[in-house]
Amino acid sequence: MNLIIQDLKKTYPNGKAALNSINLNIGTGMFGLLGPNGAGKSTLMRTLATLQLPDAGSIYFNEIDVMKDPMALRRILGYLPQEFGVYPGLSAQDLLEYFCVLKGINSASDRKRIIEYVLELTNLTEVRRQAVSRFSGGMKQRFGIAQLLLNNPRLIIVDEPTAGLDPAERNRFLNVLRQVGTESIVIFSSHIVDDISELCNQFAILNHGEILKNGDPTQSILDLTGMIWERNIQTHEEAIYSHEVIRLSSKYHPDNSKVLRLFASKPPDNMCVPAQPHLEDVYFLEMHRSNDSEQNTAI
Amino acid sequence: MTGTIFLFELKFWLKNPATYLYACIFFLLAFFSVAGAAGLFQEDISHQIKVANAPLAIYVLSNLAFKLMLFVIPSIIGSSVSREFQHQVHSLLYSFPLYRGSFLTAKFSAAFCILSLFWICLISGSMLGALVPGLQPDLIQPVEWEPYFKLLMVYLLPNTLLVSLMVFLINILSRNQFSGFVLVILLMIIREIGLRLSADIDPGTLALVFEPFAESATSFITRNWTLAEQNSFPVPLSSDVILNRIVYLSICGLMAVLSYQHFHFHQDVKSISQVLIKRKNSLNSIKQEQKKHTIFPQFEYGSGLIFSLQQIWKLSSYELKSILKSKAFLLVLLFGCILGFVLQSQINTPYGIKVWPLTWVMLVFPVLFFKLFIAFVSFFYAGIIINKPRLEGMFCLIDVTPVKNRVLIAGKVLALIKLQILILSSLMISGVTVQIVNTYYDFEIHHYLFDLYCIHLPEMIIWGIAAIFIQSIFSNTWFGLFILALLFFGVAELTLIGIEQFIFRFNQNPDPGFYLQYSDLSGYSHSLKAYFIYKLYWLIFSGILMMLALLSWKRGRIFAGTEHLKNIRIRLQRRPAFILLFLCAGFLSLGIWINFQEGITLVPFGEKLEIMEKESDKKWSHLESLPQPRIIDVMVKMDIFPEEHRFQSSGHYLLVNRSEVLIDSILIRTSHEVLTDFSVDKPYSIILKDTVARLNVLKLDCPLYPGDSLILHFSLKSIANTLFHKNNQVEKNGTYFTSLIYPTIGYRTARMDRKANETGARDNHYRSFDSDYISLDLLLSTSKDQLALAPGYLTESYSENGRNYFKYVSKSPVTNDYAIVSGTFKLHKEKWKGTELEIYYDSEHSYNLDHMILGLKKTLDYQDTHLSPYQHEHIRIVEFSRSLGGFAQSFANFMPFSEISFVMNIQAPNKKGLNLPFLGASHELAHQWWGMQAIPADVEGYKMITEGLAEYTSLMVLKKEYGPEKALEFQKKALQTYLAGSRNMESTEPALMYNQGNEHAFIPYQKGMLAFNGMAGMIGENCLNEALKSYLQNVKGKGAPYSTTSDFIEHLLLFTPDSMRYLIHDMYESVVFYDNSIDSVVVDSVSDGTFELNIYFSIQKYSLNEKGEKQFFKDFDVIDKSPAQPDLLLQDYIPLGIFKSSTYDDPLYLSLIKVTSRYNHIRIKVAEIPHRIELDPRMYLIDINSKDNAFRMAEFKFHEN
Repeated sequence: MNLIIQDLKKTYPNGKAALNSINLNIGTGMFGLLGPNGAGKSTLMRTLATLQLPDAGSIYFNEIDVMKDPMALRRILGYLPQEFGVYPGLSAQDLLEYFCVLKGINSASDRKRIIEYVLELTNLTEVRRQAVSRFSGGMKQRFGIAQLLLNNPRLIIVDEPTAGLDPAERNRFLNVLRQVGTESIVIFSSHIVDDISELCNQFAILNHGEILKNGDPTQSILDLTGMIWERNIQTHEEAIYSHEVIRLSSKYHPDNSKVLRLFASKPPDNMCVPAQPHLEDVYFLEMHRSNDSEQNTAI
Repeated sequence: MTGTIFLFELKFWLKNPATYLYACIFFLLAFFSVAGAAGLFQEDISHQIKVANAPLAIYVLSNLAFKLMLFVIPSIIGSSVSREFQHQVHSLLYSFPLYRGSFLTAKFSAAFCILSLFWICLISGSMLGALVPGLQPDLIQPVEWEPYFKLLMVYLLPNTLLVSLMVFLINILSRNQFSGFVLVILLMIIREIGLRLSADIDPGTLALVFEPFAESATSFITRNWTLAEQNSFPVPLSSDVILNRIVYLSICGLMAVLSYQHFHFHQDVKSISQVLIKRKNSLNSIKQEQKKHTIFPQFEYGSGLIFSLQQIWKLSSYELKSILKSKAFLLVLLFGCILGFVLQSQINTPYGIKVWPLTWVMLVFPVLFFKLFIAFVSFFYAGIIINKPRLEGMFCLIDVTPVKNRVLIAGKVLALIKLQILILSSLMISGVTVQIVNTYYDFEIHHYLFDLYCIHLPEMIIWGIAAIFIQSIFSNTWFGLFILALLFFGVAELTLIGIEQFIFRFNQNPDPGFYLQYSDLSGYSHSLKAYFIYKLYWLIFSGILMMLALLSWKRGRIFAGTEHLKNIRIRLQRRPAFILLFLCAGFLSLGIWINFQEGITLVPFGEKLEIMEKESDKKWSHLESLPQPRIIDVMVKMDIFPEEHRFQSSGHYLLVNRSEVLIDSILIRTSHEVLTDFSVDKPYSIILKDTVARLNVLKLDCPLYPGDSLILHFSLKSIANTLFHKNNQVEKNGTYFTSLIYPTIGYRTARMDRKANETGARDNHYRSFDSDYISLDLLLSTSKDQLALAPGYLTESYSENGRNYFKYVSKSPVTNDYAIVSGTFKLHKEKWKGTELEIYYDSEHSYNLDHMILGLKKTLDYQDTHLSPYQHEHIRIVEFSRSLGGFAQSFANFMPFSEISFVMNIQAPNKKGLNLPFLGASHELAHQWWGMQAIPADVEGYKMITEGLAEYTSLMVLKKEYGPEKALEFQKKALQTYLAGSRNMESTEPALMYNQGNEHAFIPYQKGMLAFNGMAGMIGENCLNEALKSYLQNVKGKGAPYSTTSDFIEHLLLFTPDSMRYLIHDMYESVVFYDNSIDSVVVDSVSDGTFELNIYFSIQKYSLNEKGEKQFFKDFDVIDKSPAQPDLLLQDYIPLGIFKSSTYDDPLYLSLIKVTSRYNHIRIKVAEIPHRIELDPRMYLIDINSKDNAFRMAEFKFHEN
């Protein structure tokens, strides 16, 4: 099972290039798409979900040429957009029935079993008679998962699903996603690095419509071994380094002191201590490089 | 802060393209209405004198525009309230330190400014429309600011404010923009009810103030305006209008306060149920997750056509369910039931008579307004169904499912149809309820089902699909609704711009006879098939619309127009293109075929017939004076085949040369409704045959000498009905037609304006022009289950070859006109002094037999006492199908009545409402005298004698039977009808005795009745009856020259005192109106225990000149005496009555008062304090406003001496 994206391009009428020759090859399992707000994640997700047309490029899922036959993809697609609403007043049960019909599940008994299954999986069985429009944020996201699962999809696209969820909700949600992600391709976008590192066996970093990095998160972290450094400084202090040293992030301690995370092939100075690389470091490094190159081209 | 929000809002609206679209439409609407009415499109409107931009005309236009505005208001106001929620910025915005008051004021006033802008557009449109060069100068007034300003301040802005505030409040309460729609529908219904309440002659202040837009309060005053007044007067500010404005502006204030109180800067409006659910939810989320690990259940995807159909059905059910979940729709449905109930229980004929709640009655009468209701609900919900997925943000879930676009759209259309079915059912529910309430238990459910779902539903479906199309194109419910409203009202007006053919008039039902006049006797008759063909035609068109909607369906996210076009290109593959082409071809070819079929007019009608007649008259009018033999004997055999909708007939005329010259050419005209063959019994040759005029000239080999006779043989047969045209009057039951189908002798032009003094004008009476009196011999046959009836005496009846035969002959000379009726009837029989009274009626329609019989008997009593005996031995009333009309006619001893008279629901005499079957029977019977004993010449004014006197007779009989107050009710109705007709005259109103033609029926009927009643009141009923008797004796049984209205007036003059002769001039020879009122009354108590009443009253009397301007009769002492115009001198007798109680019994005082000036004062001593003092209490005069004629003592301030 693999999803091949070739030379995907999209420029909006306002001139913003949202996708700039995207090439990706995604296999079974969880695929995380990282990127800051406005990077083009949602555009890519919507294009994959056949919600909008690219200007150029092609998408293949196994044998399916998605540009030519979007219906074929829709049969095996589950999509949870960043934001969605539902018809007010209709219960979860009603809405799932409705989506079952939309997804082409013919027999009433099939529908019944499937709805029971997804409700249970998403832990919504108890509230199935309540109006979804009045659900809390987490319940609504779980309903979103329930509806996407109805056709037992091979390709699942979830766009920033954890935004706005409290930690308990988020955990519950990610667990559900983990369960369903074993037999299909799950594309998961987030700007929260932890989501990706907890779940994904593949990932890509997207910025300004371009793929900055694409690969295995574990390998990417390993690649940085010995190149990540930490230094504690006081708030008022300034730490100045040469170009070879890249400042990745900084965190405050409760005592108002700051921890700088730095990237350098050798120790920047004796104040720094080596640190375990995280996926976050990979992300910040790529972001830094991308912004740098942009500045260079600007000059 | 207020200013900032206000400007922000204003900017928002000014950036919105919809604002400009609405503004443009209002501008263009006004511009073209005014310019059009002033002759921009038409060449010849010189006969009109209605000024296009008179204040009243602009007011009427603005009322129409207000109907459109009703649908704009919720869109603008609603959006200003709900926008924050929709775009989900409310949580952000509401956290700012805003004051409720300033926030609301700013939002509301910005939206209201935009609405006012539309009115400015309307006003500037109507101003500029009047400035277009090349308009008819008489039809345009100079443009002034003042009337427009007044219109804006008194009507447009307050009404808009009222509706806006209501919408604002309801939006704040519900936080649902669409609740505004429900409100608008409710307001429309209230307006409709208000207008109905105020249609009465004296509706009372409450009824006038009730209607929220002051439309009825205003039309109540303007309805009595003359054309000149309509052209020049400003829209009046009557006390009712002002009161109405005050009441509704206070309601506005209340709305504003409520809006303020109920608006909160909260995230959500919480209802109790919601709060409870929240609590439950939180309980749930605490519960531990327990999962059964199972594998995903097996399932199969559906495919194929059957699956698609199942999918469509289910999707439509969910769409419907989501609509039914909203309270708004339930409210709409409830309104539907209430509206249906109100309309159905109010079913009245023009005279305010209720009709029995038969099933067809329940269905036919309310359908017009109800259709409007369903159409608008469909327009609106089409928008909801189409736009909801985007509005609620669910489209991104729906659009990624593998559902086909066509299935999705078909599901939506089906949901809308189901919705329409639901609303139509409410008409059935309310209908059955009305029937139960009226103790009518014969529920014809099958008839309800057929009428609602087979006849009306297709029409609604066609509108529904159009709505789906428009809404999917515009993607904005309110704007789509507005466009659809424009289409809906516009299609009905297409004829105005010259589009007459129904193949171009979307979803309209063609005429004539296409109104689907259901009859209990003959069912839907001929029109049903043609109706369905038209509906099929528009359904194919709807198919095209569906295909277009499908091709341009927006799925997913579309960011640019080019992308949308790309989508359409991708979708336009071979199959859809082929289907589209196929539908277009089907639509076009069916259209061409319909047009061709419509063109087959075997029997000319309408305009075509008029043109033919004009052409013939131009060519042949000189033949009118050619001496012709007269018919003296008619012998006809008529075979009717009801099931086959045809007849055939043969017969002969015996013609005699009554002139003093030799006649060698016979002119024979045949009817265009039948195919006729003829021959005469003497050698002849046909020297001319004009097929357009249907005129044949026969040249006799030997001329006909004076006194010689000739026999004309003829045979004729009916023309078969074609698909779109009913060519003969044969129904399967209740057939009715008249002798107009038989050939006539001589040429008679169609003109109506024959003057009494023209040569030969008095040679013919009005009933037929080729004979005086004849003897009539009819042999009728019909199918074995039916009776055939005609004037004359039944001398023979027998059955032969499975058909029934009836022979009718006249015993005394009758006129050469008769009618023939065939149907399955029951007979009701009674006797009056040896005269047989018979009613032949449908077995289900026995409701009013007693009323009709009573009407006959009482009329016989009255006429026998006051005039002369009835001339025949029988009176027969026969019912005919209402699909042939709703009238009654009178022939020698034979009176066909439409079915409608048989199903009226007559209230007890003490209740309001007239006994129309009683009056109808009386009126038609009176024609046996007025029209058959006295037969006036066929010259101007003859209907004054026939219809005026028949109507007067029925009034007198009514008064005798039911008392003067019932008679007054009848008079009031007549006065109302007359004044309305008189007001709507587009040219100068002719005097009663000179009125011509059939166009202004209110003159001979209503004014005739009022004039005769007025005369009877002023000179005495006996005196008038003596005059009538004298005239009747003088003309009865006489041949040519026949009498005219002048002859009649001579007899009337003989019995009128000199001092009252002015009445004859006022009532018969000219058109005169009064506007009388009692201004005040002061009571002095006198020492002997009596009271002296000082009554101050004013009398205004006027006639109208050619321009429609009032010419007042002047006071005796102010008139310029030298070149006096004696007919404009006020010197009148005015009746004055003083009454003890609310009735007219035992007046304390009732007398005529001589009046010579406008303002008058009179002292009258009475023994007790009266209930009221009333000018002209019995309505002898034509007073344009009778409301101020009475002074009730309850209003009176006592004045002790």
